[in-house]
Amino acid sequence: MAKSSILGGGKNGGRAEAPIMSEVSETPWLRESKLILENVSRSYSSSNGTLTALENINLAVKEGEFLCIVGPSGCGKSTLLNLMAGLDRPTSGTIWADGHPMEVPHKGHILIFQELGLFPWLTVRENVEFGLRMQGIGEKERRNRARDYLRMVHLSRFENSYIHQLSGGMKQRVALARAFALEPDVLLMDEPFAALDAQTRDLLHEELERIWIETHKTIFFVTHNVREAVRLGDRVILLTFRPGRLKSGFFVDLPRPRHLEDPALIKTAREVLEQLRGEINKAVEAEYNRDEESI
Amino acid sequence: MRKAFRQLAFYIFLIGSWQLIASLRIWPPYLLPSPGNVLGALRDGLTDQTFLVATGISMRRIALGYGLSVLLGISLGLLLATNRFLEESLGGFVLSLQSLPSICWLPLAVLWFGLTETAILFVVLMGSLLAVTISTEMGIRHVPRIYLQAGRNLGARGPRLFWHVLLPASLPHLVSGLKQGWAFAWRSLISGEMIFVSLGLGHLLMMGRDLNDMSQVVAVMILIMALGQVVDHVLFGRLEHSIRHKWGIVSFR
Ligand SMILES: Nc1ncnc2c1ncn2[C@@H]1O[C@H](COP(=O)(O)OP(=O)(O)O)[C@@H](O)[C@H]1O
Ligand SMILES: [Mg+2]
Repeated sequence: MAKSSILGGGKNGGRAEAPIMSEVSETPWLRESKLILENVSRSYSSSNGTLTALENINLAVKEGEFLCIVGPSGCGKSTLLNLMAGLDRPTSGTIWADGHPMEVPHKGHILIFQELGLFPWLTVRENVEFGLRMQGIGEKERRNRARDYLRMVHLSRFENSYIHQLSGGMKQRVALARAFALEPDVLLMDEPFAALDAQTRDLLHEELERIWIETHKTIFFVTHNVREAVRLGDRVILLTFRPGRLKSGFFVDLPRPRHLEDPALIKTAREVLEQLRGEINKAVEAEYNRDEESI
Repeated sequence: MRKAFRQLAFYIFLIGSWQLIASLRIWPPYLLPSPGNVLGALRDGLTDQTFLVATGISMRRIALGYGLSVLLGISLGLLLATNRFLEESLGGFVLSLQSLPSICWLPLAVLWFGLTETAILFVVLMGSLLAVTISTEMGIRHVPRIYLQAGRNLGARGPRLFWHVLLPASLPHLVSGLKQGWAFAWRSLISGEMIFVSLGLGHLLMMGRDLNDMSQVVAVMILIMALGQVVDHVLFGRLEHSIRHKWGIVSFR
């Protein structure tokens, strides 16, 4: 494993380890990177103390990059995505989008929530149209664009269904179409396929990869599944548990389209997992202790 | 189908027994009219248009008063749900006001507005305002945060966030308040109309009493009941059906 810069400039070999911490304030980075997180921390205070969910996150994301963040549950992945979507502010530190401090909430950063947040009072097509409607785009164009993206996720037949009539994988695809219809600058995805069965997940991996190859959007994909991260990402970064810090990064240089069963992929995933194991154990332990306390 | 059949059977039984008791002549017809008498009164009232005119007047009043209370109630509920200071101060007051039977507002309304249309509208408004306010507030408070987050992320701000996300998301909750408000408003209206001369259905009831015309009284009662049912079915039945269709299984609280 060869080291490379945080931007992923030198991809040497099948895979390279990338240190995450670096001097971010060097100006060229600001211009080159889609997104920069500079010393970002987020903590929650409550009556029984302060919980540091994220601590000193430094990270640069390149335009068009498919970046995966892996971490055990509770390590601050959703918190990180909320910050990047501008739905929440860091306790300290700065997030730069296209070289400017990020507005709150940020227009071009669309988040696919862990719980999806599809609107049950709207049909599938109306859900996909929602963001366009908020932009004031006329009914006809809206409809056409929604139909295009529904076709892209193979849901044309269900455009008039309501959300409760769909299966889990279909809901997931509606969320994808709803996000892509806005043609976002950055697509943020929060464990989108965690609740799906293996076959559906394989299918959606393929679809997402295909769409990404077609559109080359910057995608920031969060998961607790290492193999999924290696399957999808150009770069995989580990997030540690409590406080959440970026630990180490790997460039995945396997050819696309990739396959989950590919031995090379499995091997890479195993190596990443080795790195992560300590963190996962820490998470399980914390969970276990919490249960003890509540008994 | 079977349910409709049973209901039909029940009503036939009810009217049959009524006819039977009336024909036994235990009480004179001016105390207990027969179904035929009432039907006659209903037909007379409809042909000489007094019932239709009264219905028109009452419906106009309720549409205005109730419509206004829905607008005000939803706005007030939104303010209470989003403003902590208002909630802590006004919130409890609204709850205690709701325990007041709405007809209690009539003397106040008469003193403020005189024996006018405004006074009646005020009573109707107060009848349903608080129910709508409280259910809106509760509805908005129960909207899962994720819908708001998603709405904001997709570019909805301020009034649009309220109109396109908050309101539809709280509708299943809101419907029960709207329905309750409607029932309160309808009661307030009829009671109000009974207390001062103002045409309308309530007035027609009192006219029947003044003329010692029990058939008319019962006929108007049936009319009031029927109108209430029709609105309940047409307006709220449809609304509930549409929500159930869209959301899947929803319990209306
Ligand atoms: N709004 C909040 N208030 C208090 N604590 C929170 C809040 N959101 C998240 N946390 C805490 O921050 C930590 C990280 O949460 P989260 O970002 O949801 O983790 P993940 O998505 O990786 O499972 C958790 O320990 C969680 O309890
Ligand atoms: Mg999460």
